[in-house]
Amino acid sequence: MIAEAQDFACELLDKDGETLAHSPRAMPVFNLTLPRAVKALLRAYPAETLRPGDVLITNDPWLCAGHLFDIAIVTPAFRDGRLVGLMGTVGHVSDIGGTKDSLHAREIYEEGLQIPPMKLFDAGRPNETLIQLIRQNVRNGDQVLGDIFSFVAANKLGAERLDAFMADYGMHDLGALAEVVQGLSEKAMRDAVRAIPDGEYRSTITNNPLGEKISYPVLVKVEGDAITVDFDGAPPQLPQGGLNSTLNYTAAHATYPLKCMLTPSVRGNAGCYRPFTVKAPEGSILNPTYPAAVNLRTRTGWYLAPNIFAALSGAAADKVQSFTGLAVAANIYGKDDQGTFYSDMLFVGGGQGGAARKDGHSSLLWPTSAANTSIELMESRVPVLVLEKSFLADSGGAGKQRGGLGQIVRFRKREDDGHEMLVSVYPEGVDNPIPGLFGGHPGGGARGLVQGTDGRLLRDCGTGALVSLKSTGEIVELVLGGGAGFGDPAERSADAVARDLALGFITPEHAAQFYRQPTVPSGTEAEKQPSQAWA
Amino acid sequence: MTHPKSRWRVGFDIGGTFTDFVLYDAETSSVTLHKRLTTPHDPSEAALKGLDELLALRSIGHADVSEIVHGTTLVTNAVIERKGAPVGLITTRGFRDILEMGTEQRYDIYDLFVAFPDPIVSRDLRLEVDERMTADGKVATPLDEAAVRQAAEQLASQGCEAIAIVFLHSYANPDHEQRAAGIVRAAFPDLAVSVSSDVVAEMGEYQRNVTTCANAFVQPLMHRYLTRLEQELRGRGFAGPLRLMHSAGGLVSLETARDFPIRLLESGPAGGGLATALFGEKAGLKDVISFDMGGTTAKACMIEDGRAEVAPMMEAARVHRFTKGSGLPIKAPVIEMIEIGAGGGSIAAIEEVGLLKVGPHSAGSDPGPACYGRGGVQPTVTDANLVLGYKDPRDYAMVGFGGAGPAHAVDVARVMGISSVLIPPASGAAAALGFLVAPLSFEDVRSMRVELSAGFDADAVNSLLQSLEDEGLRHLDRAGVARAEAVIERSADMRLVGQMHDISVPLPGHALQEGDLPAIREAFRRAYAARYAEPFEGARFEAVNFRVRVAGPTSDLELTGAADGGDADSKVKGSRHCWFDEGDFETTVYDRYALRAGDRIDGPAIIEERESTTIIGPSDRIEIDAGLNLCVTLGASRAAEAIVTPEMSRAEAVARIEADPIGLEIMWSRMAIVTPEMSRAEAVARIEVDPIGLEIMWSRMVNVVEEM
Repeated sequence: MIAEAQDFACELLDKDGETLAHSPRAMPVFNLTLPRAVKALLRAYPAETLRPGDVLITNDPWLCAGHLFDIAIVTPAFRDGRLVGLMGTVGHVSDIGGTKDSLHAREIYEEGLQIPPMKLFDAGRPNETLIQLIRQNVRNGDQVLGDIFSFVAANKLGAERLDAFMADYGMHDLGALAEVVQGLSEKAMRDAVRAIPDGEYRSTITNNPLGEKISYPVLVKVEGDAITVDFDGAPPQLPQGGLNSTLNYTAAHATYPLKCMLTPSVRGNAGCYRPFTVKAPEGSILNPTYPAAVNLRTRTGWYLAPNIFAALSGAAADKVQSFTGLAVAANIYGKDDQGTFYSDMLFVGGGQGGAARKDGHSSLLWPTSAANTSIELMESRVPVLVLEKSFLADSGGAGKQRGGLGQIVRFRKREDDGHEMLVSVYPEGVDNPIPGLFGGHPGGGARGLVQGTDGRLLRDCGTGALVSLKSTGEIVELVLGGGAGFGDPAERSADAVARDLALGFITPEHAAQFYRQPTVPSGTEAEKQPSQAWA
Repeated sequence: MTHPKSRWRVGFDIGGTFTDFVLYDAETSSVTLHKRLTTPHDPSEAALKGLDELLALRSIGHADVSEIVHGTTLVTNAVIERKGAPVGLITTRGFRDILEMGTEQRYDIYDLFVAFPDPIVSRDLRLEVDERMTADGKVATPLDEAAVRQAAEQLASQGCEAIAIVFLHSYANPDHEQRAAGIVRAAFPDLAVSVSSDVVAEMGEYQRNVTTCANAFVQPLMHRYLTRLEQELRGRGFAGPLRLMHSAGGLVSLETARDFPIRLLESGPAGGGLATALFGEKAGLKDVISFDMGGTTAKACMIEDGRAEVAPMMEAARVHRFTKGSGLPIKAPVIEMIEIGAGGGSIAAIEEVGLLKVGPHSAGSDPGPACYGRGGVQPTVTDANLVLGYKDPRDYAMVGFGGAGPAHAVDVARVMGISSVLIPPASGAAAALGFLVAPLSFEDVRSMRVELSAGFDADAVNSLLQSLEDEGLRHLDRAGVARAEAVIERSADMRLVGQMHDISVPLPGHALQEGDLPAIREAFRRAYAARYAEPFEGARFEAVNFRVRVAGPTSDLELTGAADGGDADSKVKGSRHCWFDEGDFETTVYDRYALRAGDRIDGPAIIEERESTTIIGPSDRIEIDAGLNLCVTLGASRAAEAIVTPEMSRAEAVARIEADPIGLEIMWSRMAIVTPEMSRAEAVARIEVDPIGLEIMWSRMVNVVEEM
């Protein structure tokens, strides 16, 4: 995998495993699952037993980030021989063994190598046994060990920086500072929660990972300065397909939207999350029991945040957004004329949901914070030719505030060389329209197709398929879902509708179907669009 | 070229509020300063009037001036305020939305409503034509020339005054772009045309789109302005060259400025950077850091070994001024500047967690930090610390200038652990002075991915470098610099194969061959190790971009004469009651213009000059050097103060930390820097490993851990 995808997170934690600071741009849920992994590692290796040169590791989905690809590396930081904190990095490695056909896995044993809490290094001495096991049980072991190496290197640098920081302040431990910053952040969060009226807020959302809809109810209970998110009623864990989301992963996706809503500009640390409790019935898809298959848990976990936004929309309408079209990473790989292996990932986003204050942004990666793939860069790495990457008209759900547009990406093999190219086409949000808040309409749906050059449908990838391309006549078409609208489209300003028409964001047919036709001269009834700050 | 040994040279800098003028007299090595309010409706008005007044101060005429060097915020303002020309974009079929899609990245993971700058060209003015190059520059779809003509007609009829042409992979083969430009220029000679392979021939379709469209956006405006300015100056009798300062700290001819106005985006700050290096050099200092503070923001520039670092890109028009990713990426070389908000960011952060109880304040609109009372400089210091914290400039000397720079530089330096501060004469017009030492220069880039290993395509690399060099020399030639006088610097952006982060590595001046590889690899290894870590043995290296900078000779400037010719009788103007960390002091006020080389002043003291005031604390002292700099030696440093000691109880320690909200904010933000630094290390260390043997990688990992 490529570093640019930012599929990792780094944290500085106090010696109890409570977060003090985390990397500002990362997979947000990594920031929330890592401290849980650290605490699990500390249960296995109590703080007082740790020595300089120790490096701890685990990828247990129930203790860490929900599937085996995500490995946590934790390094204790010492100052003057005393443990002062922990540096943690969790990231997605390029392979973890197991089946490539995740949708058919029934148990975690099929999903790859499990690394329980262990020492990767013991006082500087490498755990050769574990290393050989990793190397032998994953594809391209050198690459995976290289990924792990980079996590170890990040932690090392972090420990050095922490030491310099403490030296500057003559600090001998982080206890008091941790208490202050976590305490202040907690207080800010509790104040924000208190501003939300007490109550029991409910919503239900559906997804469609296997061509059959699954419903997820949620109850968000606001009591004073605390919030409980209860997923009672979640369906039983699925026996096959790796769609189960461990409680760790569920909790991360349930609390992340609350942080965004309530104290978006407070630096993240453990204090921000203390007012939250997350519950899900044991044995459910949101709290599966070992040894459930979990590899594709994003396809479940990504639906939790929009459901929580919907639940709280009545209580905090200005702080939520409608459903956002979900990101897709299409892997493209194969072998070239010389037999050299190539691979890259096409990473693209859907349309953002509308919100009280503004239309949704068109094409935005959610819920990650990664950047998209540069087409020129990708074409220099893998032999594809991208024919189109553009906004899809009418895909932004209608609403007083329109959803952002989804996008369409079409690509094919660059050469007719007879070699096979494999592409994983897993669109998220196929045949599963999710209504917007306050009368907003769903955004355009996602889809993945293979077409001929004449536009003839060669294959519908449904909710996901591994596609084999053999000629330049087969064109992959990937459509990213649009954002849902916010509010009744009848209330959308005539100016905004006229502008959308002029820019081609909507077609006249769409405007006729959803919006009042502009009957007054443009400008007279105009509602002010949010202006951009140019400062 | 050596500058004509004429006596008078002029630098002027059009800023947002003031236009600053510097007249340099080579005969007496002295400068004369002048200032005038900028006239935003037509900046040339204040420029021309102010110039008249400046020359009148020395009783000379325009014909006596040998050279005029000019920098301006005009381009920046046009981009920020969106006051450029209506622009149309002609681009590859299927890709008109790239400009608006951007990176699709949420630059703030907790802000659900992240805002982005509007695209420079609105969607209805972005037209597609059939054409396509592949990544290696082969034609996949031929250019539809008729469609280009039609697109230009349509855009012209919609009122566009400028057209940007951006085709995919044009850095690899500019043929389609150039042909399209030819068609548009022939059909509409009055339209300004910006072509991406000319503006920035670098891989990365989004950044190239933005940069090219931004260039087109400001082209008509700058063209009109420069034409008028030149005509007026000629009309007044000025016969020498008029040159423009670009963001990377060099000068270009008027013609080049008209072609690539986007390169002038940061011309003022670049002048400040050069002035910093100049002041440092004259004072015998190679490593200096500037603290250039105006009304609401401050800028810092680090000069290492006499030279400012030049970055390949910047972000303009940010929605959130200090948040990376919230602006428009402009790929044009720029002197690396660190912008420091005057406390705005810190104040907001403190407030968010409920610590700040005092007011009033509003970070954006207040005229600087003075309104925060005696602790006023602290939030600025906070931000300075935040952005400079890990760079450790302790062994640097600080150069303070700008309206508010001299007043705060000493305090900022103290907190950062810097022990000497230089307040140069003419500190109110430092940028304009910096213009006068700038060489003519032009840097050009082109992307080409080449693995630098045995058998690499040396011919392709050499011809690319040669074409970049020729282009640079053409720009210098336009400005009157002969080929023989040009200094040519060549470099490559290199990285480990599979990695995303590249590092600039100098290349030898001759045609490359395989024999050069060991030296290039060694240079990369050194640069990489200095910034990140030792690359592992056997790692493969590749170049992704090649750059050539062509520069004329640097002008020398002696500053031994008087600045502004002040000759007050008395050095002491009076005294004032002031509060310092050490307590209350009756503080002597000095007249800067009366101070002479060799004078010494013990703190506390206030030194007043027309545009700024320098303040030093009770333990500091000042010596006036031969260049009339105020050389401040700091007595007390606050940098390494132990806040929490082992003897304190937890409760005491907590109380101590909470007692100083701003100090806490500094501490908190510095702690928070640790994790992005880790991310950077992770991203850099993570590469695609070749099957070169795990042993090498592994032994390296063991070393890392043993060092911990």
